[in-house]
Amino acid sequence: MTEKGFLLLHRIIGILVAISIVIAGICLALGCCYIYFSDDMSYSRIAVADVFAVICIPVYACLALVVLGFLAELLLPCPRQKRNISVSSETKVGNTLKKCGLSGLSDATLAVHYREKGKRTLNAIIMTALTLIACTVFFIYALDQDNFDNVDINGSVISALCVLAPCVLLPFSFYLYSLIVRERGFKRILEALKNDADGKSGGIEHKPDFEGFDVFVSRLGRFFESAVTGRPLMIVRISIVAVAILCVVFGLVFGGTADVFTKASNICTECIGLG
Amino acid sequence: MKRFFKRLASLIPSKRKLMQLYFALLFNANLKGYISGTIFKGATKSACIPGLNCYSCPGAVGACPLGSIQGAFSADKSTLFYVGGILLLYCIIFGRFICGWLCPFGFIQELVYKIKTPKIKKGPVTKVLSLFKYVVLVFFVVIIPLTYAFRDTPLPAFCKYICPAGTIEGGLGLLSNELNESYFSMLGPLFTWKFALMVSIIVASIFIFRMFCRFICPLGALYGLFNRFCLVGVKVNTDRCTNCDLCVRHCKMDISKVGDRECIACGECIDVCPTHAIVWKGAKILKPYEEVVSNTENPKRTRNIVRAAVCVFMVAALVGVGVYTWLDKSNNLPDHGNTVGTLCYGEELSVITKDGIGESRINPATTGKITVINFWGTWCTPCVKELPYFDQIATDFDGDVNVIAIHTNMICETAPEYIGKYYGDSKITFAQDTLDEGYYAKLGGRGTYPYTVILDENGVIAEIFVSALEYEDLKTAIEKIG
Repeated sequence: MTEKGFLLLHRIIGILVAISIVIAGICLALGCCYIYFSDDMSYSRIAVADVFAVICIPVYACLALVVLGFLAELLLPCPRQKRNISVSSETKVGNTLKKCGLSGLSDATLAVHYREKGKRTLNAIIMTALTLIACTVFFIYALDQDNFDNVDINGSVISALCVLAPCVLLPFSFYLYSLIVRERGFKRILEALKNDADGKSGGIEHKPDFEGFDVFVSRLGRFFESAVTGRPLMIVRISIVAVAILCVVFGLVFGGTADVFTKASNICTECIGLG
Repeated sequence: MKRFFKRLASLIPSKRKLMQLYFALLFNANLKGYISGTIFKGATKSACIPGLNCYSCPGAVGACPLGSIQGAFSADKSTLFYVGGILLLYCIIFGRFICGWLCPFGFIQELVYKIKTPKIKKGPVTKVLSLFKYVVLVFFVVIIPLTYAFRDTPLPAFCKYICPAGTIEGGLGLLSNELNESYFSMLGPLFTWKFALMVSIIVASIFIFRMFCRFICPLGALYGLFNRFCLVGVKVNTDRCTNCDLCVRHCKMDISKVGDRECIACGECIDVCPTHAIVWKGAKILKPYEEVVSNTENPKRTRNIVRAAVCVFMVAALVGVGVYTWLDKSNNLPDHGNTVGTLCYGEELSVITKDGIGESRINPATTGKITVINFWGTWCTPCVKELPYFDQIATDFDGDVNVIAIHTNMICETAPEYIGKYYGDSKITFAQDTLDEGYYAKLGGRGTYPYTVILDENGVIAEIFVSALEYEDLKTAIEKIG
């Protein structure tokens, strides 16, 4: 694949992800409004399942695109171009490190930091694989309308998981992907430093900095974590709190407390090991 | 004198220990339950508390999050949303801060660890073992309960086979009351296993710091995943950190760095750090850094006022919960028609069919035949397992014996579906009971399920069983009356 084609593919994926995120957000909001303002406030599993079945589709489409982006990054060979980087100047290296949020670190610290980031990359890949497997399974269930028409608990559990799983995993996937993107830039700096120490400055292989999908994700990544400390920012927390509150409110409106109360105020002797 | 006070001051527990004690008391503030040997049935039981605290403990005032999430798989979708949402909130707000500061079972382990013995330190082996709790989380809290939920048989696998908090708080808590003497009759291999496991964990906790939390606790595993994102906890100021690793070496948990998934945010590393690089999350919002290092009078005074206000609020909350549970009427026990040899208390109950709760009613005490009254629930594993034996009895003794299975789920939404699916043609009469001041309580039920009462032809109580029964047990009891 040519460099131009590679970048175009990433750009298309980035735009699609952005669109599907917006659609998923609107659908979630509309679905919740519909459930809340519906005339029939009595408990109706089928009605709720129908609403969430519709919501599931854009959310999954969004998630699928993110996963696709991951796979594209991991599997497709990225075209490389030669570019000279002068690492002789300490200021330049310092500036580059600062851009990556690593200013003020010694070489030893950088090495430790690098190892940690390597672990994170591995975690990100594992997480992606798990997300992919889990979402494929749930997606298959979500597409099967029988699971929602069926009023027994199976349908209820599956449809609940169908919505919960992507809602929780989506911000994480983005966050982890942003780590991978940052990691790549970091590796190049270490190579540059090493070459400089060996007296081979300049002429290292360089991949174009964040382009297309990378630009989109790295920008999102910046929302998720602080540039200086690399710690997650409030937006991740707020989005998870929002999802949690939404779930609790949904549970409260549709009588989720009753079962918890029943279970908690009766003793199941087998459950506490009495017999 | 001065020396005495100094020594006395050294005996005062740390702030964290006091908090742990406080929350252990707060989560188990139902004093009446310890006296009566029953569990609390007030409205607060519908809310999950953050730590591992068995809801079958006589003192528990809230629901256990792990038990609730396992139960939620077999319940309505709304329950899963409700419990999942609460858990997610706890995860994102507190993370494993809960383990370090709020969990009653963690507190028990820390107390046990204070026994002066040689201790087993952390190492590569314990680090690998710390991953085991994720296996427990996936298999015992998610996969097994979910698999059984698909079979319409609720099975909280972690509660049933592992949870030491359930054994020590729920099991032993109930058995230690002399009014629950009848419970000893149901002890079997399961109790032996759970008791042995609980003792092993407690003994191991003497030598290994927080053994259960580090290697087994699925709740800690779940909270740990969110440690990086949670609002409360400790963090490292990278500008000040010199990577001396003193914090990691001092910590008794299997952490790789401060604030990772194993960190319980106990805050001990804050005092150890030579460069003061470890701080509480949000410390800058609550207390600017300049104020922390400055030694001026005003911030100190403000801090003392805030501390005093928090203490007053906490004591008021504890007293409030204690008074609320004491005055709650749901713990009152009935005093008539519920013991062997007395005329059974009678009440008309709605009959449940596969189509729903009908208009016809039945009074179990006045059928004029030998009557087997079984209290059950679709949410109760042993109840579901023993129901086929009652069905067999109803068929074998048709015409001579009435079998009435009273479903005790408050809302009874799952019962008609279940009955229609499995007992559509059964000769059992299914009836509905409400939870608040229901027939179950009036007939002497003390919160344990399943519960079976057998009446003779005159409505006098002949036998009471507080555990799951086999076909032979039922047959023998009926033939004894006949």
